[in-house]
Amino acid sequence: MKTYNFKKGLALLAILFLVFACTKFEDLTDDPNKATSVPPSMLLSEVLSVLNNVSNDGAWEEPQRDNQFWVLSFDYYGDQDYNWGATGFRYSTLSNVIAMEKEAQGLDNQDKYEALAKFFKAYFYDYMSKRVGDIPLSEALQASAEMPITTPKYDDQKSVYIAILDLLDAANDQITTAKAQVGTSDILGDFFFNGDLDKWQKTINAFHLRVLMSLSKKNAEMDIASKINAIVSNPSKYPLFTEVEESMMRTFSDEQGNRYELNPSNYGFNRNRNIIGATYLDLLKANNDPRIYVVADPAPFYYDANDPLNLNAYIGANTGDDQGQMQVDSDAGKYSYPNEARYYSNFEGEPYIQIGYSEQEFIIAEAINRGWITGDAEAHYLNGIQGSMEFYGVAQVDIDAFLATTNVAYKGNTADGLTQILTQKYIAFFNNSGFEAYFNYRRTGVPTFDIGPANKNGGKIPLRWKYPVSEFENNAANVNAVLSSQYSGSDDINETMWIIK
Amino acid sequence: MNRKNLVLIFALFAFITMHSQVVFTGKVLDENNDPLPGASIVVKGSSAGVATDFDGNFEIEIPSGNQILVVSYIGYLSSEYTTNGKTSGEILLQPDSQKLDEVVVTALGIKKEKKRLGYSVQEVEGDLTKARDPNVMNSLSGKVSGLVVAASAEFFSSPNLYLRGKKPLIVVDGVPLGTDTWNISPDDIESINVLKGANAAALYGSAGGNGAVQITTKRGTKDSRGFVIEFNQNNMLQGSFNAVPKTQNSYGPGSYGNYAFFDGKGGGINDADYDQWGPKFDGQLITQYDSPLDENGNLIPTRWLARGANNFDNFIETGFLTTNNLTVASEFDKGNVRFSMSHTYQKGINPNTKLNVYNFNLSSKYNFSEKTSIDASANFNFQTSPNNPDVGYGPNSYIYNMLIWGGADYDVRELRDYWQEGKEGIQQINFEYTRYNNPYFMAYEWLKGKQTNAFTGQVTLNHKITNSLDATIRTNAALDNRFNSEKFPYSMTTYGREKAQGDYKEWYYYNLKSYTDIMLNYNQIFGDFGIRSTLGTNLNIEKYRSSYATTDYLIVPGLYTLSNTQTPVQPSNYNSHYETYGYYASADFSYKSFLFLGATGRIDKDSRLPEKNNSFFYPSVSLSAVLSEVLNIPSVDFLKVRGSYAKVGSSLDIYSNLNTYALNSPFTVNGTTYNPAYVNSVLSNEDLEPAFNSSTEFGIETRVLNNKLGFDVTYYENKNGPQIFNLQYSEASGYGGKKQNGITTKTKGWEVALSATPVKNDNFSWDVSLNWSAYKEYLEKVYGDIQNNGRIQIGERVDAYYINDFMRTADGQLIVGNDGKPLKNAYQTRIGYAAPDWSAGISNSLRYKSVSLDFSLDGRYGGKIEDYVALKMWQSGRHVGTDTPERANDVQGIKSYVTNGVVITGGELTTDGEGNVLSDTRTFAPNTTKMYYQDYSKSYHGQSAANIIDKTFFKLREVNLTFTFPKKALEKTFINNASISLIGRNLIYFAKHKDIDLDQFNDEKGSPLQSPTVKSYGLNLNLKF
Repeated sequence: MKTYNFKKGLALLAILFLVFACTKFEDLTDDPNKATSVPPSMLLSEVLSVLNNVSNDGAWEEPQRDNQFWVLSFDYYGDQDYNWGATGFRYSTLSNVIAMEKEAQGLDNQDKYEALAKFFKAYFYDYMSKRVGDIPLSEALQASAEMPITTPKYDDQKSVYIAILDLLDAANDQITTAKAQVGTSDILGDFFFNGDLDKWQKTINAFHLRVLMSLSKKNAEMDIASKINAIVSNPSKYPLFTEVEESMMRTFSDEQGNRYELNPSNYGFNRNRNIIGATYLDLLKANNDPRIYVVADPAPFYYDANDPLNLNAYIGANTGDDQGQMQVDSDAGKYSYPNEARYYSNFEGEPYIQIGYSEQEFIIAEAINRGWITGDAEAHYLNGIQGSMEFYGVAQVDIDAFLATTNVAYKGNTADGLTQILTQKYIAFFNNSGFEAYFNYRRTGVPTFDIGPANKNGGKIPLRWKYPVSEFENNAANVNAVLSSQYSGSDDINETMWIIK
Repeated sequence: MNRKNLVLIFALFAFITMHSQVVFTGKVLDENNDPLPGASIVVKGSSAGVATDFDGNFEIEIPSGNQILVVSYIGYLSSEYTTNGKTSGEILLQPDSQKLDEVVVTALGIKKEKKRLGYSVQEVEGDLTKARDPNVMNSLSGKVSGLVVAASAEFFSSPNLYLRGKKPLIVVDGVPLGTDTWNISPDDIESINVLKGANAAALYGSAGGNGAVQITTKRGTKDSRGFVIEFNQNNMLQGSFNAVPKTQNSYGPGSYGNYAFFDGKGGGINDADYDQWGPKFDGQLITQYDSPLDENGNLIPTRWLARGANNFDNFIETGFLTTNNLTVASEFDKGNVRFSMSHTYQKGINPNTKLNVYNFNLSSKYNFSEKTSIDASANFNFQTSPNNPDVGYGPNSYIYNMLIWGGADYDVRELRDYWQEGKEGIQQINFEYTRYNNPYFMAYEWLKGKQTNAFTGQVTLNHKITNSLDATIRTNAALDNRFNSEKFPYSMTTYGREKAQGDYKEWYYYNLKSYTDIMLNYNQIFGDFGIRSTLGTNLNIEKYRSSYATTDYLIVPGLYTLSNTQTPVQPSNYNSHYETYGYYASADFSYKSFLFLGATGRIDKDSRLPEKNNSFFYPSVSLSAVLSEVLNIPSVDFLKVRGSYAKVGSSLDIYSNLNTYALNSPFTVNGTTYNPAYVNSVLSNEDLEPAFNSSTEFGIETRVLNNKLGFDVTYYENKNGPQIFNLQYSEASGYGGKKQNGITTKTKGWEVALSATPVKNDNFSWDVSLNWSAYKEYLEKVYGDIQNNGRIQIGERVDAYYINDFMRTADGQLIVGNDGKPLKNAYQTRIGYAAPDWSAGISNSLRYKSVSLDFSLDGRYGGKIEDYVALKMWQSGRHVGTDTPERANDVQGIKSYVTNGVVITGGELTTDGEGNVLSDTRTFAPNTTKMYYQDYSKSYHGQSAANIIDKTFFKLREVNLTFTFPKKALEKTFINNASISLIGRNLIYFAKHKDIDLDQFNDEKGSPLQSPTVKSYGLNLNLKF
C-alpha cells in the first residue's frame, strides 16, 4: 500500500511535469512585445523627428548659440566655447529610411514614400558630410546585405555631393510621378505637411538650392550655376516656395512632446540666463529693424518707460565674453532677453523653420548677384526680408518703412549687395534651421562672428567637427585613411574640407 | 544509466551479500537520540555495507559470531560496534566537533562531506538573527572570501552580490529560483554556504556559471524533547551618520554674491533654479521667501542668516527596526513539522517611510514508510511600504534639494506645514518655486508605494528503491505579485514635469517561476571504494508580465486615478516566457577517505536560444586528496589538496536575438498623435551559439596544531567566454552591430580563508577567522582579429577607467585658457581601474562562561570611482571646501583667484584621431588671470577629473554581546533556554572621504546620490519554551 502511495504521487508529479513540459519550444521564440513589420508611416514619423530634431538643434538650443543668436550666461547649463568635439552620424536613421521603403513596397503609395526616402537620404548625407568632410556612401548601409560590409570605406566629399544632387533630382522626378497617381492612399505619419506632396516637392527643391549654394566655392568644378539655373528657370518642373507660410516648419502647442522650448513652465530656469546675442542684435539695431521689438525685451537697467522704443536699451551679450561677468551684469539687468510676451506667455512660441522660403529667396538672390543666373536679385532679396517680417508678424507699414531705409535698400549686384543678402539671410535664420546660419558664415564670412576669451579654440571659429569616436573603435583603418587624405592625419576642427576650399 | 548497468550493479550487490549467515537489526542514533538516516554500516574486514533508512534502522547480514560493525555518518565520529553475538542493538554516534568531516550542501541540495570536494565551498559562520540587517544578505558581508556584498544605502533596497566579481545565483533548498532577498526570514535559515565557482555550481545549469549562494531553511527541530517553541525579538535604532556630505553654511543661494527673493520663479535676483554662490550670511537685509509684506504688497527685506545650518540633521529622523519571530517545531516518529511566523517593521531615517514584512513559513516531512517520504514547505510573504523616496539625482531627492542645491537660508522645520493658506491641496510653501521642492512636502505628499505578495511552495517525494538506490521528485513554484504606485501632487516639480499639475502612475508585475527535478541517486561502498551518483532531469519555466500606466497631469488635484488625466496617454506592458529542460549526471568516486574524484555533466535545452543551437552540453571534473590520511606530517592534523575544471553553458537575454521594430515615445502635434518606430540597431544571428564560461581552480586546505589553526587557499582562473555580445559595426554600415559569439575575458584570483582558535579552555574561548580575496579581469579575445572592445584593448583590464582629464603639460602642470579656466583634453586617458584590489573581512568570537562577544570588520582596498555628490557640491557652491578667502572677494565683486597653471602663448598641439600626439610646438607661460572663485570651483573642482577618489573603506560591521541565562536559573520557569544580546551594526566607517558610503560600489565607475548611511544598535531577546 505504501508503494502504491508512492506510485500515485509519482504519477501525479509526472503528469504535472508533462503538463508544464507540453509547451512547444518554437512558440516561445518570438517576442510578443515587438512587431516584425510596421506601417511605413511609423518609420516616417521616426525619420522626421530625427530630421526635425528640435530638442537639440531647435530654437534656444546650443546650435543657435554657436550661430551667435543668443548667449548663455549661466555656465552650469553650458559653455560659450567653440572647442567642438565629435559629431554624430545619421546612418541609423538612414536604416529607418530604408526600412520605410521596404515596408512601403507593394503598397499603392509606394512612390510617395520612395520619393521622400530619396530626399531623406540626400538630407542626411549632406547633414553628415558638411560637418566632417568625407563620409562612407558607396559602401554604406550594407550591414544586412547578402555580402555584409561592416567597415565601409569612405567616399571623398565630391562624390558624396554628386550623389546627393542625383538623389534630389530623382526625388523631384518621383514625386511628380507620385502626384500623378490618382486615388492612391495618403501618406500618414507626416507632422509637417500631412502628406501634401505639393508642399513636399517645394521643400525638396528649396533644399536642392541650399545644397547647391553650399557648393558655391565649387562652381567651376561642379557647374553649380547651371544646376541652379535649371531649377530656378523651370518652376513647372521644379516648383518652389512662394510664401513663408509654405516653408517646412514645425508648430508647437501645449501637447505632450510638442511644447515650445521657452514657455511659462520654465521662465525661472532661464529668464535672466538666455541673453540675445550681440552678433545678431547689433545687426537689427544698426538698421532700426522692427523685428527687434518682436524678439527681444529691452535691458531693464537701461529701459526708459518714457522712451520705450529707444534702441539704446537693447543690449546683446558677446558670444566670446566670460560668462561669470556676464551673469553679474545680467543680475543687474544690463542685457536684453527673449521677448517675454512672444516666448514665455504660452506653449506655442513661434514655429521652427526647417527649410524656409526666405532662405530660398536669398539663395536665388545670391546666385543672381554672383552672375550665375539671370533675374532680379533685388526682388528675391526683398522677398526674403518680407517673408521673415511676416514670420514675426511685423505690420506691412513697418516693413515698407524698413525696406526703404538706405542701409537696407539693395545696393546692386556688387560685393556690398551680396553682404546685404547674406546679412539678411543670417537674420532670417534666427533660431531656425539648425546650424545653417553657421554654415553660411563658414562659407561666406558673413556676418562677422564674435570671438573672445570664452572661445577655447585658439581664437578661431572652427570649420568642422571631429569624426565620431565609435568610428575610431569600429572602423579605424578607413577613418584614419581619410584623415590622412584630407587633413594630414589630424582630426582637427580647424581643418578645411573640400566644399569650402 | 541504462537498465543493463543497473542489473549489473544489483547482481554485484547480491553477490557481495550472498555468503552471509546472520541478520543483525540495528538503529543508529545521534547525540540527541534522534535517528540518523543514511548512516553507513560496514562489517570490519569485509566489504559488505548497508545504510540506515529514514528512521535510522538497518539490517545487515553478517557472519555469525563476534563481528565489529563500523558505523559512520558525515559530520559524526565513526564508531566501532561489537556485536558480541547479538542480532540487534542501538548504536550512538557523537558529532565530530573538529568538523573535519564537515558536511556541506552542494549543488541541487545534495549533502556531501567537505573533504570530498575538489572545489571551493565556504560556510557562513555566525548568527544571522542577532545583529540583524533588515536584509539578510547584508549579514554575509566579509564572511566569505571572494564574496562581496555591496550594501545599498537606500531604504528597502537589496544589496548587490559579487562572487569572484560576477553575480552569483541564489539558491534556496537546492532550488535556484532565487529570492528578492526580502521574502525570506533569517529566522527560517538553517545555514548559508557559498559555492564559489562554476566548478561547484555546474549542476544548476546556465545560471550557476558564476557560483551560487545557497540558503538551507530549517526543518523540524533538533531539540531533544521533540518539540520547541522559540521566540526571538530584535529591536534596533538607526541613527548617527556613517557617511553624509558636509556643507558650508557661510553663504546662501544666488550667484556671485547676488540674491533677492521676489516670487521664487525668476522674478527676483537669482531666486529660481539657483546655485549656492549667493551672499554671505552677515545679517544684512535681503528679501526672502518668508519676508513679510508692506502695505503695498512688497516684500520687506529681513536679516540674512544661516537659519538652516542643521537642516539635514533636523530633517532626518532616527530609524527603528523591530523583528519578531515565533517558531513552533516538532519532530515525531513519522516525520517533523515546523511553523514560523516573522514580522519585520522598519521605520526609515527619511520622514514618513516605513516597511512591514510579514512572513509565514510552514514545512513538514512525513514518512509514509521506511522507504518513502514526502517533504513539503510553503512560504507566504507580504511586503508593504507606502513611501520609498527616490534619492537619485534630481528634484525628487532630499540630497539634491537640501545638501547640493538647497542652502542654509531657510529652516526646514518651518516648512513642516507645507500647504499655502487658502491653497491647501494645490500649492506648497517653499523657499523657491521653480526647480526645488519643500522636503516635508515631498515626504508626505509625493508617495511612492511598493507592495509585494510572494508565494513559494515546494514538495519533494523520496523513495528508496533499495538500500543504495533512491529516487527523488521535487517541484517548486514561486509566484511574485508586485504593485507599485506613485502619487505626484499639484505644485511638485521634477524633470520634464515643470507644469507642476500632479500625476499618478501604477505598475503591476507578475512573475511565475517553476522548477522541477527528477533524480535517481545511487550510493554504494565497495570495500575501499565508494560511489555516489545522481542522474536527473530538470524542467524550468519562467513567465513574466508587467504593465504600466500614467496620467499626463491631473485634472482634479489630489485625485489619484489613472482616468483623472488632462490628456490621454497610452499604457504599456511587457510579457515574456521561456523554458529550459536539463538532463544531468554526477558521480563521485572515493578511495578510502583519501582520494575523491567527482565528475558532472549536463545538457540543457533553452527556448531563448536560436533553434539550431538551443541544446548544449557542459562537463566538470574535480579531484580531492586528503594527504593527511596517507602522510604523517608533524603538527598537521589535516591537509587536503584539490583541483577542478568546469565549463558551463549559458543562454542569452530573452528576445534579444530577433530583428524587430522598437517604438519611440509617441508625441502629439496639433491634435494628431504620432507613433515613431525604428529598427533594432543590433542585427540578429540565427547561428548564435550558447555562451560558455570555464573555470579552473586549485586549492589547499589544512589544519594544524591540534586544529587550532586552519587555512584554505584557492587560486582560480575563470575564462568568461566566448560570451554572447553585440559585435560593434561601424555605424556607417547602418547598424550598430550584430549578436555574435565572442569576447573572452579571463579573471584570475586568489582567495584565502584563515581560522584560528588562539585560546580554548572550559571557561574561555577565542575564535578568529579571516577572509581575503583579490581578482583581476582581463580582456583576452574579442572576435576575429579585432583588437579592442570599445576603448579596452586586448590584454588590458576590463575595468580600466578612462576619463577626459584636464590638459596638462609634459611636467604635469595644469593648462588653463585665457579666462583662467582649466582646459580639458578632448580625448580620454586612463586614470586607473574601477574594481578594488582586494577585499577582506575578519570575525572574532570570544566566549567567557555564559557571555559571548562577536565582532567583525570588513572592507575593500583600492579601485577608483567618481565622487558625484562632491562634484555637484563643488559646482553648486555648497561643498564645505568652497568656503575660501577668495570666495569672500567674489561677493564683493572682486576677482581674486588665480588658477595654478600655465597658459598657451604660442605653437600648436596636433594629434591624430585618437589623441596621440603628432606634434607639439606649444609654449607656455604662468597663468596670471584673476577670476571669480566661483568660476574656478565650477571649472576645476566641479569636473569629473578632480573628483576621482579611491574606493578603499572598512567597516566595523557587527558587534554582538550575548548573555545566555544559565540552565539552573531557568530550571523553575517554563523557559527552557534564554539569551539576551546587545547588538550593533555598521558602527564605525573608515574611509578617506566620508561624504559617500563606498560600501555599495564594487566595480562601478560612478556614484549615484545616496541616502546617508547610519549606525544601528539595539537589543535581541531569544527565548525557547
